[in-house]
Amino acid sequence: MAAIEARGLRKSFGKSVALDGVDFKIEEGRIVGLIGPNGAGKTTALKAVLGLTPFEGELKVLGRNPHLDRHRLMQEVCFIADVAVLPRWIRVSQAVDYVAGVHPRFDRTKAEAFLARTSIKRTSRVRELSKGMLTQLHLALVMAIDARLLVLDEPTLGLDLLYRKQFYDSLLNDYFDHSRTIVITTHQVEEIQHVLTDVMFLDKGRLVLDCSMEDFETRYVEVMVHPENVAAARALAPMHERQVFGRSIFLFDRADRGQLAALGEVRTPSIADLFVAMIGGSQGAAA
Amino acid sequence: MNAITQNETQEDNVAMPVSLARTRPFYWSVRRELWEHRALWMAPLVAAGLILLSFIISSFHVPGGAHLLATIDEAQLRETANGFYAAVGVVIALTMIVVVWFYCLDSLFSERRDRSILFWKSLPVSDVTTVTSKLFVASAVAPSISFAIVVATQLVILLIATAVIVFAGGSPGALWSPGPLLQMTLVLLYSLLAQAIWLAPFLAWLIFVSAWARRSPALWAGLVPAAACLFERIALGTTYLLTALQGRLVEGLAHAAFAMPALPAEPIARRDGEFSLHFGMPGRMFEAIDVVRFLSTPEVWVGLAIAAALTAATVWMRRYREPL
Repeated sequence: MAAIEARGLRKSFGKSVALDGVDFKIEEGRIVGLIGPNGAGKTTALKAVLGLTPFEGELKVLGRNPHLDRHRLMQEVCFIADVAVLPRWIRVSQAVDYVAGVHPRFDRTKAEAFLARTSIKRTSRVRELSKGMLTQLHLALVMAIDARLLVLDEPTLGLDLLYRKQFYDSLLNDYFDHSRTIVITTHQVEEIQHVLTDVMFLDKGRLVLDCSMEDFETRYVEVMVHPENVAAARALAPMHERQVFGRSIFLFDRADRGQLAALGEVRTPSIADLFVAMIGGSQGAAA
Repeated sequence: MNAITQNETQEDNVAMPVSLARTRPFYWSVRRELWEHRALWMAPLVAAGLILLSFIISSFHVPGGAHLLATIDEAQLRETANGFYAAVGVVIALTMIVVVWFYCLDSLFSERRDRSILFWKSLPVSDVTTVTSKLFVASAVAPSISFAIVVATQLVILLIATAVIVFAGGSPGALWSPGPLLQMTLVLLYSLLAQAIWLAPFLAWLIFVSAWARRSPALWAGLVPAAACLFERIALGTTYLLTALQGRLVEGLAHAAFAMPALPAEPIARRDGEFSLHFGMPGRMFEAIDVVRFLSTPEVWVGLAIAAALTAATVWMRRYREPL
């Protein structure tokens, strides 16, 4: 069964269209990165998936309509929508008690173990925690839930490098298994590239890329072209060209690797490079 | 049957090793409200503390008394104590009403203002549970807390009065006659229950506005009924709505719940330039308790129906609510 299946998913706020008829299917056991510039519709898409907003079109999450069936869906789905959503008045111990009291798949000992690795005091109120601690607390709560679908919207915002690394490691090692599905959005694309099994680009409410990382690696090629070969490279219809330290870097979609190797150093682009090539261009040279 | 078997096999296929813990979303939702809105129990406690303090001061403040304890007049003290019992009930009940109204106006507004609605909605708690738990806190939990605090405070007053009389060499027996105390407690309990039912449409309205308003729910909660009354007056030349609202808010409850021809509007009346309380009131009110009359008052049922409709609308609305 697909974890998420969307057909013609559409959402508009007045005249502005946040999602313009998006189709996608996320199979169980995948880790999908949903990447897009600000205002691309990522958050709207996730909100629709989580039953937080009504939508047009068809959307099934774990076989349910998320908007009509949110509370049942939430037994099997958990999410961090934004780091700022824990209520400021709640105490750490109360938050743990509450989630333990209402969530059938919450493992209290797991949450306590996560918290033990932080310097968060149980008696603190959320408003007294630093931004990083807030995220750690939220992650401790969410990671202790045995969910089938985990949605992370900018999960590591405000965390330092060490904790971010630790977070993604524990996501992969402790949390992920092939019965779970994870959807992540973040602007720190480089950090999650090695974690993902699939990547989706969203731009102006449309899905502009939806491919697995294996496809990504075979399809896209980046070549650092020797100066004398620049004209030849341009003749092969690259998607994108940029200059780094006076050298030209070309990005190709489905090109012949052998042919490209003759022009310069060939490598797999990063998701960030492809993102800039596909979306940065459409937003003008200023980016 | 088919659906059930299918679900079961699906669950098996998923192979979740964790057995599902038993959850009590309603219970925890209520506790959550008491964590967030501490005024629900702190305000009546503070009111009780102030009354106790004023009682202690006044027990020693007897006219002409330099030798305070020696000049205690037993009858006067009893009257003072009885007055304080009633005052405790009235003051704490009024405090509670004010706190509950603010609580309702805040109940579904603050979670949108501080964006925590996203956290609450990330948990398997239905909108029905959330909304009804708030109405339950406003109409049942808060009155119960007040009731407990009133009874405890009255007991403390009784003990202090007894101690003062005993020290003064008097006999405190009159204070402990169980009849009036029991009657007063029952009157209080009945009043709180009847009030919860009687005011339910107002509380449901306030909770509805707190879910609906994008800003200043307090303003909207008052403005909309005021505008409706004004509209009715100008467009139709009638004042049915105004009369109905006034009747319910001002004296309707006493008329509906107690079989009394005319209850004094103010339990506290001026007498000899001094505040004193209607001494015989608990007994009179106890005899006037009329459950049948209350339950056969059509306004009670109309009010409950309005409360139910507003609550249903609030549940529906919360499904569409997002952070402000």
